[in-house]
Amino acid sequence: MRRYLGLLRLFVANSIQLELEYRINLLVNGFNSLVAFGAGLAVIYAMFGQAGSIGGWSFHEALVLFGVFLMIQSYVEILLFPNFSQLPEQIRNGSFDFVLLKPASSQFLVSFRHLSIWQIPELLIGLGVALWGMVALGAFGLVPLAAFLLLLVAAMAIVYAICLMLATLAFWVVKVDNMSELFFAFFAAGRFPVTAFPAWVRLLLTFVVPIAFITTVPAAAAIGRLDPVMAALAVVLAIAFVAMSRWFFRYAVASYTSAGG
Amino acid sequence: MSDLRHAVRVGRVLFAATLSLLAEYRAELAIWVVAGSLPLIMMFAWIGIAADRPIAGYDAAGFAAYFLTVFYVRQMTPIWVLGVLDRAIRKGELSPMLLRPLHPFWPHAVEHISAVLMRVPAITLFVAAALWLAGGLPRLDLLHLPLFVVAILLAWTVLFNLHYSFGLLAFWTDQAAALQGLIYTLNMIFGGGLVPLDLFPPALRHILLYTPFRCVIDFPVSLLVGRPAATDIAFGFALQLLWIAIFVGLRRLLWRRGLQRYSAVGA
Repeated sequence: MRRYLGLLRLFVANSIQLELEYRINLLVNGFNSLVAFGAGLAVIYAMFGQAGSIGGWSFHEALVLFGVFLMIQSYVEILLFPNFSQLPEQIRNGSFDFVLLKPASSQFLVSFRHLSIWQIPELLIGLGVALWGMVALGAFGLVPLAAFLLLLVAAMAIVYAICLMLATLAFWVVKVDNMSELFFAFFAAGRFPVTAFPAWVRLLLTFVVPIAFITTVPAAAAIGRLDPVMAALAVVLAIAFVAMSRWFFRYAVASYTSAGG
Repeated sequence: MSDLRHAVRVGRVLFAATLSLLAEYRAELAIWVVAGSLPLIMMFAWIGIAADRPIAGYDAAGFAAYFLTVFYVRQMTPIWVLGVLDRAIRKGELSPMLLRPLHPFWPHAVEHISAVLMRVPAITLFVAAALWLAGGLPRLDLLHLPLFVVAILLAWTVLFNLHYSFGLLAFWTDQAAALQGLIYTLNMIFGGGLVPLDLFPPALRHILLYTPFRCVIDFPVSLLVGRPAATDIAFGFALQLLWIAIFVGLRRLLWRRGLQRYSAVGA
């Protein structure tokens, strides 16, 4: 464990050092994040200009949800995307061999080697929006906050597992670069509470692509309107997803025959 | 005359080669279709809001007709040339393309048009079925269908030249690819892809009516679902042509200037 923490520290330091070579990235990404945030906010304003609530959520409650949405999105862009987007290429040209040769868990190396620090402004914007909504609602109990943090971690674990499994498909299918698009397409629904959608879409977003557990459930915890059953389900689902993705990755590595094999 | 025959032959060969290449990546096409589903998500959200009472003249079927048409327009105008150009210029892949007796603009254009041709049947069937299911079909002004097709062609031309112009900025900066996301966001929000433009505050809406974003989503969509007046239709087409002229001019200027700076990799 200590060894892996040390490795993680090294990876982070190395990524930051590398990224600092491209400082103009901060400006470009910061501006992009601001525009995306403004657009998202404009949509929420436009909707609440026409209706008092969306799926039973008030304006400030929807803000907390939007904040959680931005935070999870930036988490994908900061950590998951930079790492998993490399896997297909590594498998295609055989450089995945070098990952296997290193004396550390290959899943760990594949998952945490890179860090894209320039999306951190988006993370901060998301946190700010969530806090804005929470302050306006006066929702700052110790229990809701603890539940929020726990469910946010569960959400991150679910997203991690989904992205790992999509990337792992690259062991069999050569062209999976666009799989991340597929995830983001469904994830876009996460900016609204699942109750805003018709029943069949809600079922789809809860049990097939578990977007509900990624944004709606943590946000519901933050504003103290959490259903305990959903909270328990989220934790169970997170553990199941991580276990499943780990099994899938190991199964894929076992059948890996390197390039040209 | 022989010039024309030559052009037709080059075009035919290009299309044949590109179509067979794309046929190899059918699964990828399907992914792109799903990836463009944001208008459908917005449709469900707006239908939920309009469940009790119509919003600014849109009831559930109205929103379904609007956003399914947005989805269709977006599916008919997919542009990814910005990333392609950025990569070609930064990595030097442009060099061999320059040696061919054909402007690199054309292979890029043909690649995009082929991709659209491949998806026309499936997407048209899907959207028609969804419109019928959602009760949005009676909301469409089907007499405007020919105008709608022309507007989509012009919208594609605006978008392609816009993306191409910004992609050419890769001659000067290595950040050109980041503009793709920016253009997408501005397009979706100010073009009416997330919120119908008539739901924006009137002051903002008045400004938005002149933007290129409006030309590529709101205008084609409004032809089919908005019942615009004849003057609005004429204005919309004129605006599309104006933006095409601007971006074609910009693209040609940037290409000329950029090529003078281009030294490929390692040179």
